[in-house]
Amino acid sequence: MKEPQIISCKIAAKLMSQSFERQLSAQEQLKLKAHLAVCNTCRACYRQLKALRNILPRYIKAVLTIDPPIELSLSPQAKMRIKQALRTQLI
Amino acid sequence: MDLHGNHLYRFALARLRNPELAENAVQETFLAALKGRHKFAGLSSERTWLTGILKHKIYDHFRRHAREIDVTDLKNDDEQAIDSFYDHIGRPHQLPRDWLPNPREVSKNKEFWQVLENCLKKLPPNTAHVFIQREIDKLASKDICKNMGITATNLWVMLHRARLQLRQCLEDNWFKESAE
Repeated sequence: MKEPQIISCKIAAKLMSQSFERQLSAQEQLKLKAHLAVCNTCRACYRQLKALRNILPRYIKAVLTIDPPIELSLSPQAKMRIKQALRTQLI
Repeated sequence: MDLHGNHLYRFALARLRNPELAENAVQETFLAALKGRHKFAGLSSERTWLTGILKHKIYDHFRRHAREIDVTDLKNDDEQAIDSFYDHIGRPHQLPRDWLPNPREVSKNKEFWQVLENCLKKLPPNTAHVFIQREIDKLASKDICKNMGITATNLWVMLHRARLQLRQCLEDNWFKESAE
């Protein structure tokens, strides 16, 4: 097999990202692997992107449960407005 | 309303990132629930049922918003943002530092989520919407393309931009100190 051509960090990062979305072709996998073998910073970057993917689903739960909550609650005005809208619909 | 209002509001705010839009989504949810209350089968909790309605309202908003914008402009903007991370031969301007988040530590850390929230806010709305559906709600790519009316290639570009930008933003604002 021909030696895979060394790709740039930019192309490598694109392939890392797409590997989360689709199956990379055998050639793409080889190119990415060859780049990662010689590039410390892209290896770190790939680890970080994977780690972030694992953390992100916790975001909503964190926002909903951290005490005191990160974000504010519905304002009293908003509550009143929503109740008013509900009452109007009931009539 | 008093029982679930704040929960729904925070759920909507986390995704829409705009208090006014989140309030409207909650209001629409309660109105839809009132209208369709006979459909509530009691199979799930009331909160789960309301959250399900709210999710639809939020995705409707994403879809409407996506329709108002020319996808080609959007793709160019995302591609430019990706290019800005690299020089002319595709080397990153700023070499990534070596850090790794500890999931257990950051999960409980309010400040971390606040930093993440601020980083998400820096993305253009449609890019953030796509990213939230994919990485936070874990929707399948094809469902997001359908929701937003975009192609798979558009989706990949948007997600890639969001990932690069978020990685950099977290590095600059959170992991910088821990890596030093």
